[in-house]
Amino acid sequence: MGSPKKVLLVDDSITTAKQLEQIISGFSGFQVVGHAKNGAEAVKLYKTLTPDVVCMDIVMPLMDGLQATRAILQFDQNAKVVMISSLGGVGDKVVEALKVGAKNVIAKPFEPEKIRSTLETL
Amino acid sequence: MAIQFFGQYLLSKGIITAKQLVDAVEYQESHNLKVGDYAVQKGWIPAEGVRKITHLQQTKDVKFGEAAVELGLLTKKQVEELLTAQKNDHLYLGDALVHKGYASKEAIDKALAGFKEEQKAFAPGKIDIPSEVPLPKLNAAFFDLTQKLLLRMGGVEAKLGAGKVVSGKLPTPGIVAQVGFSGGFHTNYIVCVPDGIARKMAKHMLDLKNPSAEELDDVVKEFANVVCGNILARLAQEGKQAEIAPPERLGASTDLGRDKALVFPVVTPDGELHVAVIF
Repeated sequence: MGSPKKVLLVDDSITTAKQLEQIISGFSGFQVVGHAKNGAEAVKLYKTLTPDVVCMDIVMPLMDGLQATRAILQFDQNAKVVMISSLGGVGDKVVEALKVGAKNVIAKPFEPEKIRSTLETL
Repeated sequence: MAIQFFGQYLLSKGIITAKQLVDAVEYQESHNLKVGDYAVQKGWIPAEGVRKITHLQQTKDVKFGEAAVELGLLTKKQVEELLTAQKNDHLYLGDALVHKGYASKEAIDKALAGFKEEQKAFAPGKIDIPSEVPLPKLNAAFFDLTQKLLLRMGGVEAKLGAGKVVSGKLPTPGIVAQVGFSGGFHTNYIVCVPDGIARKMAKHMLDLKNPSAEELDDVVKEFANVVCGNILARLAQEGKQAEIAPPERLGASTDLGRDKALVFPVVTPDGELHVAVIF
């Protein structure tokens, strides 16, 4: 078996980050390696941690998740970013996120099974 | 589960890919015209008239046609004709996907039935909004979704009490979070949660037995964020757009200035929390 895929969590909410960490730590094959609280921090951490997957919020202070996704994809065009956001049910935002290059969009509140199935299909 | 849009549901079920969804939405957008576009095409109103109508529409929560009639820019008969033309020409996302060859009609019909069934949990409930409050349907959605998401996210059974309008100073006891709306719709959503209920939410969401003050604050802020995000999703289903700011903590009271607030008590087995929407 190969080494687990590294996951970077990006969310200004420690509640969501902890929920995601609890959920993802229960999946075999994935390991949370870091938590950024805004988009700017996410771009920095992406470069140092080189995660396999980024779980990215949209509404955040300093730099939002769409801007951060653009910056990460400029740095690494193979980056795999999944948006997990309270705006995940807003059609325009979903389409905008996919246009920017996100692989998928999950709306909050989310189900653990939804997180698992999304990460496994990346 | 949250309020979704149909394209996302299709994506989540693996019926279409992200690229196909983006492509179909762009195809749909290039095909579907707004009522104002039809009116301009027919030479009934100038582009400036559309801007005036849209502005009134956003401030009064009325449909485009109603605003156009109120401004005297279109007659009721003209509005009916435009709406019929728009309805006859409208290309739905499912149609666009079929047109583009990304899914069969049977697959779309089956998925649409599943989507509607799943979204039933978020069907708007009936809430009495005092007559002086503008945008009654939208304002009702704040309280309706607060109640539904308290159970879904926080594991808290809740019932709405009777709403009232408050002016002057708004008491905001407990752990308080506020989310500001901008763009097509300006307001603030405020939720005031007593410590005991916040602890119950933290236990349900994070299995925390002794949450810190920072963790309790964050649970309430994230709850407000998710309620407001789902409000935007509901607005989007009605073709309306707005933006939300990250949630922020508020003090023990808020001076409303010239604004007013619609406040609903939300009764739970562990006490009452309060939700306010500024107008």
